[in-house]
Amino acid sequence: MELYWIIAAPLLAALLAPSLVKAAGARAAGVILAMVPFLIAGWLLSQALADGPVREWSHAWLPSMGIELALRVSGFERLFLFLVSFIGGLILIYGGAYLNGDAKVGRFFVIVLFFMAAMLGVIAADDLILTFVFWELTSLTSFLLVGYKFYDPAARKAALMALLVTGAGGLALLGGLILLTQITGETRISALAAHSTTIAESPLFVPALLLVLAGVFTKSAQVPFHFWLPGAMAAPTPVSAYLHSATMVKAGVILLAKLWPAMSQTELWGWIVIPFGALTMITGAAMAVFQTDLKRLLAYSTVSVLGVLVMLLGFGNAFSFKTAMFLALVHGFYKGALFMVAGTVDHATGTRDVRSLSGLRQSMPWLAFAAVAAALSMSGVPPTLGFISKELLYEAKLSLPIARHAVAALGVLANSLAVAIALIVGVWPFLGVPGHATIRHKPGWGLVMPPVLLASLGLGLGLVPKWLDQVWISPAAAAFGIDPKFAKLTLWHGFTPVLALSVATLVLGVVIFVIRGKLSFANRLMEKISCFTPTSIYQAGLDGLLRIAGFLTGWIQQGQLRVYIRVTLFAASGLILYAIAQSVGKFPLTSRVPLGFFETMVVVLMSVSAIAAVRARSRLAAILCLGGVGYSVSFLFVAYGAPDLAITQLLVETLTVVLFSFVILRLPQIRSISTASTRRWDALVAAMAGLAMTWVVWKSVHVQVHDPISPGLVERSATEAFGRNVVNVILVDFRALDTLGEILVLSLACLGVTALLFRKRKLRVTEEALSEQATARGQRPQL
Amino acid sequence: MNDLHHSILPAAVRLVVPVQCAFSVYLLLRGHNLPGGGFIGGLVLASALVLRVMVDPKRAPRFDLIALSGIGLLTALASAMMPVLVGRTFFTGLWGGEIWLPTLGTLKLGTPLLFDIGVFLVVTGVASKLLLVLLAQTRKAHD
Repeated sequence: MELYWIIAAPLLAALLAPSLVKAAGARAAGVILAMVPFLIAGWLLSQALADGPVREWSHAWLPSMGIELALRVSGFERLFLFLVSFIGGLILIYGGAYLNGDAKVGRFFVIVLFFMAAMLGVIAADDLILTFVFWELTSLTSFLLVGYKFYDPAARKAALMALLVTGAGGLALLGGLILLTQITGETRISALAAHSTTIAESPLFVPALLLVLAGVFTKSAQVPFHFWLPGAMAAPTPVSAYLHSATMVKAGVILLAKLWPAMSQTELWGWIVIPFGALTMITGAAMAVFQTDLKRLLAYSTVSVLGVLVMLLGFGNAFSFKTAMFLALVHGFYKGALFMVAGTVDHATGTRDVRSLSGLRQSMPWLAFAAVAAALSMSGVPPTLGFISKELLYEAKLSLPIARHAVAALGVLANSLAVAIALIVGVWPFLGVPGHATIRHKPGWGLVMPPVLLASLGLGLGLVPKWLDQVWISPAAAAFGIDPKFAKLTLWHGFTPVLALSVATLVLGVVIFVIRGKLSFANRLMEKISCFTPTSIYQAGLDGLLRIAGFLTGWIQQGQLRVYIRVTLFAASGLILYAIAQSVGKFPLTSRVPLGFFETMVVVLMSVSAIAAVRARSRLAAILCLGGVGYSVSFLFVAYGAPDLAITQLLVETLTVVLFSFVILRLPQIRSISTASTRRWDALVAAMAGLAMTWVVWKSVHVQVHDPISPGLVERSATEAFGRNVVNVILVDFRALDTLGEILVLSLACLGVTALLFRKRKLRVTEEALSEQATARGQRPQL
Repeated sequence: MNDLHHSILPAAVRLVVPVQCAFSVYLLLRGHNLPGGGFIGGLVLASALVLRVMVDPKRAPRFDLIALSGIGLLTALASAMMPVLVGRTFFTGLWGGEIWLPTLGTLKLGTPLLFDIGVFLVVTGVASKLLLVLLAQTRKAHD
């Protein structure tokens, strides 16, 4: 199989998705479409089992800049590609069941598959620019999916926030990647590692690092850019489970890991990455505990895990790198499962508020199993995968050269909070007697099977850590030259300090869970300082920008045609006169063009018409006189041998005059002529514009910078293009591409004018939104 | 305006419009060798359509003018793509046979002519649409 199929296949599936939904319904379409990512995952699994070689594929894209469509799959990429495609398949099944009956479900499949292709691309791309392209595509598809319920202002706002934050980061990333190619002359990521010393010694290293990190931190929701992620929970839950926990937010971590060999040679790497990661880890966990919405709880805890991943990569040793790989895998399993559990609960009961959910195990036993299994993994209870990853995590922290105790203590705190969150989300809603929220309908298998499967994998794979290590984690680490004998994964490490920390974490977590109500003072404190949070800074910045834009528009766009014309002519002719003043004396002021009787008469006619137009006392007279000026111009064209131009000018002039006179007959008589002072200004502007135009024409006649191309065109017109009218031949043959562009612009302008004059579209959009809302209320109260 | 509706203008328009239509096609087809072409022809045809509506608002074209310009764009694009299909560069002129037409003489057929027809349709559609929209607006505002 050629490697590009992992990206092409989801795209092709996206093309088929809408008709599939129409033909088979959303549920069946989800199952069928899921086969595509499952096939990719299966291929990756077979590669992993056989310990297949590094696979590469490339195709020239912009050879002059050394940019290629280059893909490369080593053990590292294989791990993440598998995670994205496998969870993606489950999400398609889950999403089909979740959004069944929604009118826009076809759009959902298309965008999710598009996202999947982009995300697989981010992982597999080996070219820096190609990585950026896919990176931006994930941001765009995320924007579309967060704003899936576009009739909801909150969803639109959240979508815009996510796009602006990750988009700004994407720009920074582009800058950083370009600097990297400038330093090394390489565009291949896999080739960058060999240049790590050059990179570290380059004066451009610090800006490059900062820019890349800005991109990584915004995408992976590091403090202070984390605020877009909880907002993105406005997306339907399948999207949150996929993009905003398992895959897209890890793009930053993945890129950080890919650039790690090339950029981590200096201490600066650790000094920036570790504090940001640690701060994010604590902030995310602390903010999560106070949430009452299931999805927001999970979102903040995702922020915390992303912080841990970034911090681990900041440590920069082989052990922590391997731990990060493992944690990313484990987190994908349990967080994906918990998100889907939250979505199913929401779907079945109509609420996501933890305060009103209880006793759900009786009505949804399988879901309760999935929730508890995932919660166990998240808490790190043996024998789950989560336990192993937590052990590794503590070991990594304790092996740090400096500040190991402080870091470990922070880690224990964050993990205890994670235990509390796991209890709140995965256990609490299912215990006790059924509460206020009642089941309105039993969830179908499509809403239960995917979380059960993911959570069971989290449990089951914990029993075979050696297999995981051999097949997935060690090859991933080996791709970065890390010896696989570091950090053997085992379930039982013996009685070590690490085990003590694990037990302490669990106990502390349960304590936090029990007393969480009493911790609300901390929440109130956070609310008090909320005006300094990144969210309010973002909001203030956005509001300020819109205010400035509004002020500027109001100032410039006054709505008076007279002012527009005056300003435009004044500015344009002023610039022209300034430019031309530089060339005074460089060309003769005497004419080379003969002025015969006919031309003289035309000029006289033109002047008389112009003066008459100015002096006219009725609109009709003014328009007719202006038409006279236009006709005179076309006579001039005739006189100087440009019949095509003359005909066009005549036609346009005629149409304008006819239309104007038609309009003007319906207008009232002119009541007042503009005042003398206004007229003086108008005269000044008019004189300037006339002078500028005259001078430009004069100069263009006398100054010949290059050899004129017209003789060549005339010569070739009859022989090569079989036409004797060279103007037409230029239009439809020699410069036909220009003409194509012009008629396209013409058509677009026509569409614009029609839309402006008939504001029916606005009405239609509102109606559409209303009907969408109605369907949303009738069939799917909550998404 | 009312008196005009029943007098000289309608009579003149009834005579002029068919001539204009024929003339616009004549201009289009002769364009490659003599003054004329799709742009000019399109303007003439547009003015014919507008004149009809000026005289009688009920005689607006029944087809969608924007769709007409869309068809024109597609025609122009098709003429540009044809060489690609036979393995030549985008926009290379392909020439076929010749036909003889009264008053026009021999006319060489080829993709540039097709392109010019595209331009003709776009210009007709856009110009008449814009003028008719403006016309309808002023009518609405003052009736």
